[in-house]
Amino acid sequence: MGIEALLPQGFATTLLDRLVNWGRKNSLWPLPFPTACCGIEFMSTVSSHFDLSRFGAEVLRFSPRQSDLLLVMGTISYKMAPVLRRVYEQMPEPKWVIAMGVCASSGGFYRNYATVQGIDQIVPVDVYVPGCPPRPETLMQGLMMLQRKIDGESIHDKRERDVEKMKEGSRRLRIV
Amino acid sequence: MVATMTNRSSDDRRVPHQHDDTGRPLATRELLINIGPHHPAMHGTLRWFMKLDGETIVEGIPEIGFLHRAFEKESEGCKYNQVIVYTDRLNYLSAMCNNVGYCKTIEKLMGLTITPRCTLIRVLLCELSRIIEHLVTIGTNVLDLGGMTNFWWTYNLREEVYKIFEKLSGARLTYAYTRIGGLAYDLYDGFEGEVKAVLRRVYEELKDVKGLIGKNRIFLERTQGVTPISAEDALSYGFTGPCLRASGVDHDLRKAAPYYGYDEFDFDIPVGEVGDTYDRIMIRFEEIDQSMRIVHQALLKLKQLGPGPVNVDDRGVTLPKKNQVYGSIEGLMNHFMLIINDMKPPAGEIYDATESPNGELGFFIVSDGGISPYRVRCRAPCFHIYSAAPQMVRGAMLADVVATIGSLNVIAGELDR
Amino acid sequence: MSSIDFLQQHHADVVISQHVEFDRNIVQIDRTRMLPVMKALQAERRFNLLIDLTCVDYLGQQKPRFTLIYELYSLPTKERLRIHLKTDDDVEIDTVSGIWRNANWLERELFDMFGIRFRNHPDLRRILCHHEFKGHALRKDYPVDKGQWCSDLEELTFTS
Repeated sequence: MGIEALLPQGFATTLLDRLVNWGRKNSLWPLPFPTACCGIEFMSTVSSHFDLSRFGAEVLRFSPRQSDLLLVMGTISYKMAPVLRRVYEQMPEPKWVIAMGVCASSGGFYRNYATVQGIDQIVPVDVYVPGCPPRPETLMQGLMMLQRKIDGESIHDKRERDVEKMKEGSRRLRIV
Repeated sequence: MVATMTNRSSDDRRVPHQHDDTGRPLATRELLINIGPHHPAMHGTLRWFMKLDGETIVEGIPEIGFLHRAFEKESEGCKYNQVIVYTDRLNYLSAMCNNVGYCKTIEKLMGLTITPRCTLIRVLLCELSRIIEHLVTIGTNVLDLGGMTNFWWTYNLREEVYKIFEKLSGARLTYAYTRIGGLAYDLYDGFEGEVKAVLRRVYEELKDVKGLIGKNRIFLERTQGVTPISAEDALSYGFTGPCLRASGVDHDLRKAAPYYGYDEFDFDIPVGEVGDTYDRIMIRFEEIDQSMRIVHQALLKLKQLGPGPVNVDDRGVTLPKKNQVYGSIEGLMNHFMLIINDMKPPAGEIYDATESPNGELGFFIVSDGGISPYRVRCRAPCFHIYSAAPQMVRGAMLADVVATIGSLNVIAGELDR
Repeated sequence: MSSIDFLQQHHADVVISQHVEFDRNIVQIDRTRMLPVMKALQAERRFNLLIDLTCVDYLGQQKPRFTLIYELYSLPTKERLRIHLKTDDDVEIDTVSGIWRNANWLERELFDMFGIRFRNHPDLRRILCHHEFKGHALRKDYPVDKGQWCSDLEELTFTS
């Protein structure tokens, strides 16, 4: 694995865990994936009134290679699904995914031939933020929950998610 | 009519170089590049496949449909009042205008006349929505060109209007505020004072926003003369709204076929000259000013009209008051029948349109006399406007595409429905 | 002279029926000879804006099952006109994208949603649904919640 395999479990690695998690959670670099109305509420969240940069998540990098938090905001259609998967696969570890809005979490009130019923059929999701669209404060609460989740992680953890266990449809997505 | 397009430079546009400094021809090859659909400059989910000669676009193929959410098919399974919630998500920057447009069509189908108070409130809210949509368009458009400050400023103004809408309807972005035959709720106390305060703020801060870009050399060079479209081409592509008016055609549904008493309001229609990106952006500043005039007049008229009902007095359309629902058996049954069975418009087909911030937003409804519409079709203005994009970007530079798409105000929710 | 009179006078053989509904003149014309009529409407009657081109599927209620609807607007005369065209599954309709250029995308959408084919269309392919979608979504016999996965982005190519 890496240096983690050489370090024994114990006080030193717990301290190292805390340091690493502190750094990771307070400087999340979001990759916005705005598709629909939730994208507009996200723009409100990063604007000066609500200000997401208070949580360290100010640096919006639109390149998957340079970011660690995939924020899926809005409805994902079947046409967009391969794009989302490809962008997720292009992100290096460690990476997290927040599904913002009910359309990303479960398809929302769209149940039709064009809408994916939740992005957890395509990418593994860490935090679901409900709302249509969620208020900026709700998104911030979701971010804070993600920060608490990151606090509970350890550098000994196996980071690769089991994408093969994703639901049936996403196996048809071609990964380049 | 107001046309205040100043600082027009008459410099020729850049010419692609095919020779080096000594005059020898450069060996060049065309580059095929894919932009999007996940891209910061592609507003939402737009994809372009481009053939480039250096920085100049030889040809571009746009691809849309990444946000197709089957609005039309879903509506066929909903009752008439339930479709209002779906219409919010069409042009989500000005959701109130979509609600009003849809309800107006169904009311015409059913032969309902809404109350004068409801008419004035709908006009006021549509114009407020026009203001906030243009604020976002200007903010994001200039952000794409690199000017980030305007984005924060226009978004703060939008937040102020969000507070008003949230007090009014309960939601910041997707309101579902209108109902067939009227509105969900009446205005709250103190609405007039808050709207006037916000408009005062918009008026002052818009001067700053315009001042930052009005004489800015970078902004002018990047927008003047960029992807112009003539009036004839614009009409051939079915343009309506600010993009058509920027090309010099003075057509606005509020003046051409006035509805909701717009002929009694005193306002002008700004018209551009050339139809380039500069015109399309600056015309929106002028439209915000005109909308503010309408809002002030609407507030005055509302005050003169005084309190009154906002819903049509028809038991087959309007929900009864809560004290009747809980207090009398007739009210309870009325409420029950309306919620379970909703209303049944007469069979027929109708097309009706309103002037939304993007252009002519029309709804074509076919009813078969049942509780669900047989066919709902939304005539999205930016679908027609965006279909002209391949012609507009031919010969322009790659960076001009970014400015152009922003100025056309392509909103994927409406484009793809 | 109104456009209805114009059509009755000069193209009476193409007009099948006409009526007024909710203040709109609606004319049903013969789909096989519609192109000269459309050209005349745009040129002589100055209907310069094709507001909308859509379709309704009357499966089981009428034969032929589709009704194409052209919503026209004339800027100089402020007149609106709606044209109905009845067509079926396996019939090709002449494209009007040479007359009104936004018909290019509108007809692509009709092909995508209803499967109606247009003769001489420059680029008839799907526009809203993905390229691996089978079937036509807005037809009445297509179930609303039958989703179809797409494996990758479409490979776009330049024809010229």
